[in-house]
Amino acid sequence: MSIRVPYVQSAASQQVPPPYHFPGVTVNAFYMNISMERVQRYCDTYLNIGDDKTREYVYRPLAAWPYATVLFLNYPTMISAAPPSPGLNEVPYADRGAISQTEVFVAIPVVRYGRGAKRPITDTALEWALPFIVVGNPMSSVCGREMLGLGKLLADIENGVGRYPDSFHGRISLPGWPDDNPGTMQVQQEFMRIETKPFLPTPAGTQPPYRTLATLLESPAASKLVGGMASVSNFIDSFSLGLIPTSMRTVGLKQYRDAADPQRAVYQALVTCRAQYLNVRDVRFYNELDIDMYFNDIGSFHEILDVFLEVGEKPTGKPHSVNTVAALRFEADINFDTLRVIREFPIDRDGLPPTPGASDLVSRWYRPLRGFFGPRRGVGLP
Amino acid sequence: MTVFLESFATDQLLPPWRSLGMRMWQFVIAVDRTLIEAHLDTRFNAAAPDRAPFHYTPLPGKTYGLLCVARHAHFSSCCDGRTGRDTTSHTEITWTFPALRYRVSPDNLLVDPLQVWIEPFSFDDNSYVMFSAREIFGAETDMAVIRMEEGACPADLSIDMAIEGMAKFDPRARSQSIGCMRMGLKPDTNEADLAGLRTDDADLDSFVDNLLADGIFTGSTATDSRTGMEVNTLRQFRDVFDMDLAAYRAIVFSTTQHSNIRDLAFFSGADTVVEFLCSDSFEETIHAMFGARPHNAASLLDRPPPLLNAKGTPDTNWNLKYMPIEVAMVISYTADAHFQIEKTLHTYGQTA
Repeated sequence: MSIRVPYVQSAASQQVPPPYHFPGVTVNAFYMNISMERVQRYCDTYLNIGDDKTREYVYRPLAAWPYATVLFLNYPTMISAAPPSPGLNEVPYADRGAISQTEVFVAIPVVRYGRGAKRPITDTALEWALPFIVVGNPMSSVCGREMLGLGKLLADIENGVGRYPDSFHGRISLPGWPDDNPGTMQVQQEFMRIETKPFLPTPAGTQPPYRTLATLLESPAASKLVGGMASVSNFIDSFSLGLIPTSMRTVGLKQYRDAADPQRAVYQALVTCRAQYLNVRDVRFYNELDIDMYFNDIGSFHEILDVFLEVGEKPTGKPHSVNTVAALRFEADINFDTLRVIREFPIDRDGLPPTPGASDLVSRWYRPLRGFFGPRRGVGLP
Repeated sequence: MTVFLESFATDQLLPPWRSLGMRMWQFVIAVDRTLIEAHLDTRFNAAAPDRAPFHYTPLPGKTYGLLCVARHAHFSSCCDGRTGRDTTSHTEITWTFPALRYRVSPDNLLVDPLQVWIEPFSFDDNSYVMFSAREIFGAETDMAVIRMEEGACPADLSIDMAIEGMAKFDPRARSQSIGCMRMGLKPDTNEADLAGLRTDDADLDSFVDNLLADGIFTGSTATDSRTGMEVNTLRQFRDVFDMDLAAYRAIVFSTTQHSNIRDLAFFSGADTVVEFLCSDSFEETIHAMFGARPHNAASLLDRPPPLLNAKGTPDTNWNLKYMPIEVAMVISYTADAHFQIEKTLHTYGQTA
């Protein structure tokens, strides 16, 4: 954005400005296999934009982590920590109160490799793509879509205890079309469902738990490996190297259509945000062999599943069962902040030269060093 | 051309859109000219940083707007090449008023006035439509629970709307479903004669002329000199880093055309109840468009809100102050509607 265009603040706007603080979030995380080809296809479609020869970065899957994580989050309290806008005689968002919501997303780690002489070192970063994300709160969906470039859909989300105490039940219903025939009416349909037995140890399971990730971490051998660590909670919080998402830097494509020519984009940018999981506590493992998780491969939902599941070319009209490789539950406080445009793409215009693009691809570790020693630069800055 | 990268999250019903058998209730409400001027000046006439080559003013005379409630039972995309995933249903509530759009000549003169319609806010009960309205043509649409029920007689009309928000801003407040609008007709209401309503009120008479000019309840065809209502919206999206800046801001021109008008009826404003419920989340919107007005402790409608205890609807707080709005007249009809986005009139900040 080379010219600073003011946004007309509106009383009708329900967009709540970041940063946000979410205390006491309950997270249920389920890990499942994902093919590297599908991750690469997602990267090539939505992240590796522009000419491959001149692009200064490339996104690739993290080969060492061939898993997608399905996260069910229950936010009892969502607080905006945004400072009051100067000049607006409005109640600051932080003083307006709190909202609550449920959220479900699929997270896939992707690595952004910098290209060129120095960029492989200074611009390479681990980020998380969210190819599927739904929320139960309309304000959150609008903020996520319009500000952050996250394709948040509004859904009915059940997120709670299942049949057994300490078990988990999750269910998502979305607007969708049962088939692709012209004139078929959109209806609210069940998209996915998940049921667990109680977290371990439990007598309620049907499968022996000795092969689970939880058993591994609680075994004497594993205990020696993580010796000195007081709990699994600390292990996850401190030593997961970012793969169990305690500090996720998400990346998303923020784009807007041309109003009259909707196949054309008038704005495209890659946006990153940090979701920092603090004070991770009460970590519990489910027996992943005792989890029933399926996605409904019907009608328009097939297009969603095709992004991250091994489904066929056509919808089967049946539930698509998925095996989980690990499952756990924990509570955490989450901060959502440091929103940044890292790459703004040039936009073609009729009769005018394209809008200038801009890059701010510096990786997390190098950013403070460059900020201290180097010239100030970034999207929108001279 | 920079291609928009489609995904299921943006698998929207693309324009043009068609609504078959749209059921419409329009409440004609007089509003303060200065409030309309303020809206036009901040949205359309302000520099951002460049000025659009247009200038918007309220219509001369007494200024009115339309509070429209439309139930689209069969709403579909007519976009070329679309086969399937093209039909949905939804109900919307829109506040719209006419304005004059002048072209600013190179000599800085205001020329070629044209009546256009401005939509300061709207609500919809379908998330797909809400996303499309916001992201494609830039309407300031928010999600709502809307119930519209009609019966055998006009007095059976019942329209209620609730949103997610705060009844009272407070750091300890929690968001909840709060009532926002109630609309209905008084008992024993009968249809009114349009000619009589026009004769009784000269200001309303000229406003009805404006409605007729755009074929709102008479219908219009492609051969008419004006093919329906021209709607102008300010389409803007926030920058991710600085909330006071827009990543994109433009004025978009679209048209709404009604045809096959049937079940046309008029009612006197005196037989009508329109009430806004005053919560902190909604009050700024009401005051910006309708000004400060007296409040009642209870609704003028004696029926209970149907949203209460209705299956599948959230528990809604209706225990708020009720602000009745004086209505000049009511128009109801069934029609087929066609919505077309014509062009982007001006994109801010994109000079050569």
